[in-house]
Amino acid sequence: MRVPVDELKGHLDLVLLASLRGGPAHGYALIDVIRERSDGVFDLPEGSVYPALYRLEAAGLLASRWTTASGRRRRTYRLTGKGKKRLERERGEWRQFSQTMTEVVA
Amino acid sequence: MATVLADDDRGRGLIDRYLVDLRAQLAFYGVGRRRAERAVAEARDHLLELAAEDGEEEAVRRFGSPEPIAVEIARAGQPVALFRSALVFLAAVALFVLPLYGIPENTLPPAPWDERPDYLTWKLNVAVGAFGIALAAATLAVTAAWLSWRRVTFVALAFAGVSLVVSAIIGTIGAVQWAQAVPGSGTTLALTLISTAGLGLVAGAALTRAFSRPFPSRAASASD
Repeated sequence: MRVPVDELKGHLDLVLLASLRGGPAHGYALIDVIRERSDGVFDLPEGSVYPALYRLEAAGLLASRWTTASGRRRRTYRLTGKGKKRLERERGEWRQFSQTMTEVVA
Repeated sequence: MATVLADDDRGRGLIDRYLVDLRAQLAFYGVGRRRAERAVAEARDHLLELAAEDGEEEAVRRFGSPEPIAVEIARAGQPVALFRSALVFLAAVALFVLPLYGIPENTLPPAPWDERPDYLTWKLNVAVGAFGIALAAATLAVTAAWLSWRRVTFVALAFAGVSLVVSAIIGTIGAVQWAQAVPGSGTTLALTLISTAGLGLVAGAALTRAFSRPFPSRAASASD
């Protein structure tokens, strides 16, 4: 089952913050992480990850810089301290929400 | 998307055409040059990675249409653009002290009266009062923009704009009447009018930029 893009968009920020918990990554690698962790359920237009990254960076939750790997220049993103705190808070809120929904809907 | 794929120009051409379209969309939706260059560079890197696996057509298809991406990038930059506009507006309002006080204080010839006439005094008081309100509201707008309180920012900017207009109009009428009452005040009047007009243009441009929404609503920007 693939999640409709519009449903995922509302949670894309949390998905991106969580995907960067493992360490810095560039946009292409982040899409791979998201697809892998979701077993292909989250499959969004890959270009849509960049506006979300820019928004998170403008909010101070991410920082980025140009790096060079295999002769290719890439923009790599990492969580800031503020981003880590926001991630932990939203993970807690999500756990509570999904637990409650499961109890109500089950 | 169909337009990008229709001309089957095999090889590098497809990604290059996509990037040209993306650059044009970013410019259309008001994304600044530096941000646009960065977005195009990242898109190029991503597309090349995809193309290395699955070819250019699949890469462009998986990346998504340029327009919704450009809209969302423009939207992502809006808080910063709003803050910058509010800051420019505040600077223009603050500099309004020049035509209101600085220029008259330093260029007016001595007045022929012991006590300023009432018809000039009330205008001066209203102009200064409205200026004070405009300055306070503009400062609030900058603070609200910094905190990403969009509604408060827009309300404060609107309030500051109206106050500044009141101050400028009443102040200008008062300046003209003062020049008529005090011989040799022509230079002061000219300088006051020029600086008022100049600062008014800057303030107006900043407000226009702050209130402009060059891109469609969120409902229209859903990607395909």
